[in-house]
Amino acid sequence: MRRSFARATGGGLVGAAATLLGQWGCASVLEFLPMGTRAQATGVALSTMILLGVGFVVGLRARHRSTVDRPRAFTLFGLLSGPDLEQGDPAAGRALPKGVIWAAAGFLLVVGIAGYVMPWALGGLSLASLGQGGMGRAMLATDATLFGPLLFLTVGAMLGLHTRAFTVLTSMGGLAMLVAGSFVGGYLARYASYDANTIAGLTVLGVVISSLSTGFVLAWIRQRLAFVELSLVALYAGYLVFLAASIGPASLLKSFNLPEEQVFLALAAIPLIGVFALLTVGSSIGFLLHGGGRFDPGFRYEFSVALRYLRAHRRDGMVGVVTTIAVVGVTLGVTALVVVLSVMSGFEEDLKQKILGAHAHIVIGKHGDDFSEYVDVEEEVKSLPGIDTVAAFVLGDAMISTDAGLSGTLVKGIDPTSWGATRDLRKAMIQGRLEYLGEPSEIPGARSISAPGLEAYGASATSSPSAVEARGGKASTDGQRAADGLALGLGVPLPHEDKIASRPLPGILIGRELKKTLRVNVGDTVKLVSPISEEIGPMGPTPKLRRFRVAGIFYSGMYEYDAKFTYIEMGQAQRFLGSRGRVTGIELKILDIDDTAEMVEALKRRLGGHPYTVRDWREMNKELFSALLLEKLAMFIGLTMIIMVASFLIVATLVMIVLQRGKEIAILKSIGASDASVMKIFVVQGVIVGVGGALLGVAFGLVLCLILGRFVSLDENMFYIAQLPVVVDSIEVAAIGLSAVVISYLATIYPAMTAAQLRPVEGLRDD
Amino acid sequence: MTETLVEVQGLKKNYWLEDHEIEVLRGLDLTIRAGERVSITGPSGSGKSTFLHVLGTLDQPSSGRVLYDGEDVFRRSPAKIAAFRNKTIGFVFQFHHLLPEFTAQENVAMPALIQRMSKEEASMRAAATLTAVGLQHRLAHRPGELSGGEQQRVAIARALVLSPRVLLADEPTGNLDEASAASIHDLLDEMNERTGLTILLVTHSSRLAKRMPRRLNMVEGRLVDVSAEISTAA
Repeated sequence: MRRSFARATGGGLVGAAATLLGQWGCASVLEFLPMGTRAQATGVALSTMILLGVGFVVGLRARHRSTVDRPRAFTLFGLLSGPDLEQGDPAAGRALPKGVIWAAAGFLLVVGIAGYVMPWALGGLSLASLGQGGMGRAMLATDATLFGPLLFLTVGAMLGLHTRAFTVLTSMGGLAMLVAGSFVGGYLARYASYDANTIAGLTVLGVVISSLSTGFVLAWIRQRLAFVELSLVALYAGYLVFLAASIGPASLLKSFNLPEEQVFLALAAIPLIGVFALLTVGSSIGFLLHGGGRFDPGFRYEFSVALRYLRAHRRDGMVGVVTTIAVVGVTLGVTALVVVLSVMSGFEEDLKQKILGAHAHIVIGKHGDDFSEYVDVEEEVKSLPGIDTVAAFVLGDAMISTDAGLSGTLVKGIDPTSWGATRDLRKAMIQGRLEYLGEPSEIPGARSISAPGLEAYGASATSSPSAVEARGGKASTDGQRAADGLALGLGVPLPHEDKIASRPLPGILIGRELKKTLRVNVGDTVKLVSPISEEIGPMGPTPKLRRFRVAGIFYSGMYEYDAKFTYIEMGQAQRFLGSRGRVTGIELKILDIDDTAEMVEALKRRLGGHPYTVRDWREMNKELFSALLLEKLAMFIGLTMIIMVASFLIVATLVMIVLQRGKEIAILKSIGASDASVMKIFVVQGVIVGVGGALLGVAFGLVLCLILGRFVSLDENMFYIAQLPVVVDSIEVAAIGLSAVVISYLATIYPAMTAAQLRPVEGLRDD
Repeated sequence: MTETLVEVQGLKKNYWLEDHEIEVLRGLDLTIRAGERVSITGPSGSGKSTFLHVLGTLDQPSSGRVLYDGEDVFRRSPAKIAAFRNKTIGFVFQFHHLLPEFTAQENVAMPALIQRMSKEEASMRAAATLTAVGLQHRLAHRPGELSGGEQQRVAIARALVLSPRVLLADEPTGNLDEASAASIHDLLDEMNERTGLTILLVTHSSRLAKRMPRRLNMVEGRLVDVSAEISTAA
């Protein structure tokens, strides 16, 4: 132990010296040369060389001190070097003695800490001076000094351990393939579409595919898992991105579009870990298929062996129990995901339906304030195929008040005679009728008002200034007081009150929530106050006040909507909002909602773009839907954790089986089973657990969804929805099942690899 | 019969135990011709089993070469070595080392299945081989339901199912009573005569070793040919 400690310390000292040297060398180069990109690159290259050299020497020493009987698979270097030191390798039969591992660990630790602390301690001397482009860039450069030494020392050590040019060559080939593949993905994306999201998505897809195939090809060529090459490729790939961002043109960092604090994580860790995981998946598939020296997709006997291992009636039967627990774990995770995402989809769908019901699918607007040629545009648009209804509208802000309450409102002017365009609104009416807008005299309780009258509970509007004054003292709310105060302050009859008393008041439709706030019923009078004024009074512009009678109450099921929107007749609205002869826009409903995107394009073409704007419902409710999507994503990631935990159960089960069956693995190898074949046995076991859990989970999840959707009712006042909405999206369910299987597959790689690396003699010797 | 099958040149094998290096095999040279029957005797820990493992490519030499048909097997890739083991070499160990969850027939069929032979053909071959070792009535039994002698016969059948060229037997009858042991050795001799199978037998028993025409003794990691010695003593 003391010797190990001494070695670790020694390694650490060498590491510290190496870091110092490397960084000092680098820094002095930077000091003396003008700070051009070329000088920076030279500095980086210099320190890289030094570090590679030191790592190489450490690796070589490790190689000379290596031995056979170490449980290599459980050590860092062992894991990295593992199969490379198997049969057929010139360095075969050697692995690292404990002392060297200690030394290497100490070395790397000190280098890591030193690499991180030094740039801060030395201030402008070190690589941190590279950071000329804001805090993020400085941090990036600093982190490059942590990441770089670690990387190059490890790489050097690995090269020292494996002085096979082929290993390095194949990794470089792999890296070239990865980079080329990613670039191709990015460029293809750029050709395919101009949408930034699509480009980003396709680029990521390109990286994913090229990582997978690079791993696959490497394993195919090397006929082993090729961890050395994979690590090299992943390290270099991560570092390339990192280096490019830290010393490349400043615009590069900007183009990643990341908050500065996150650059290290995003630029080093994610490519490194992500690419490595993908490479591992690809390479494990390549190894399983080609590890036996020929293309061999069969796994029949492996499957039968795997099945019997999983059942395990023999021995203590623990494996059977643990297997069951692992399956149950995956099942739970998948069930939870299916149910939660389906309920969330249900809410989203419900929201979508309500939005689509209450609002137009597409709205045509116009820049500026003079949309008066709307009739022509309407005619133009009507001729397009796939259009259901077309209706111009006026929209404006106003205040609505009664004695009991006051609220801001969006006043919308519609044409009540347009049968099609008002279809959904008509369906949503719970009291009164939409048609009253056109025929205000039909409103129940409506009568010609020749003089201000007090209605039953005295809360209705009055119109004469004296009445307003009289009521000033007993205003029920502050808002009411404010509104009234405004009127009082003028001290004269409000100029825009209806002068022709004999005409019936125009109708207004309000939502259920607004009705509650204002405490009115059909037939009651409300006041609308518009901030837009046509006249200037003695005190400046005077607000316009107009009285309406409630013609009907609607209930759309969307709180926001039921609390904010009010409808009046188009002509009234144009007058009230001061836009005579003009409209705000034209609302369209289309026959098939799935055609929205195409319709928007067709409309844009037909209208010829500027000054007209065409927006669809998704765009108009962008924030809402992207919030929902984000929530769903967070849920997905959170619940996937359950599957992750279950996947650790798979790891535990498999490790247990590997330990139990060491002898049998040795026997299989002695009768000619290849490493790939042994690995298949254990991968198959894990995948059986994963697939079993996924299938059960999907089944349970669907049943639960059915039950929830059928039998769970909600408090409508609270949730604004009567039944728990459940929408099962088959693509989502498939994605959940697939991710469960992929995670299970990933979980099998480590135990399956240890099984494959087991040396037959070790298993046979125990007797 | 004079064709050289295996050639061992300067074979050394070391182990590291903690910080000590242990030399197990200290430079072996040996030539085995096809169809030969060779016994290796020697005290426990002299390296007999290690030698057998290296010969059978289960373990790597520290230095030296093992040539089969003039080709160094350890120069091949791990996958090729596994395929070589599957086709060319049959192992029989002191303990039968059968897979407990599988029947005798399935156990014997395993090497053929590893080779991706069809299930039907593998089962047929397994049945035929089990018949050849006298176990035609035990096809569907699991190892646990067989006697020690029968288990070892199943193991021999498994070693021979793909008609290998070399059988490497490590104390195959060390755990059996004399009658069973004798019948096993009769079986091995019969296989050698019938198919020209090369047999390397590691054993403690000098009586069994004497059945072999060529006898080697392993002493402290080195091989000594004692064929003449023992026959004169007898």
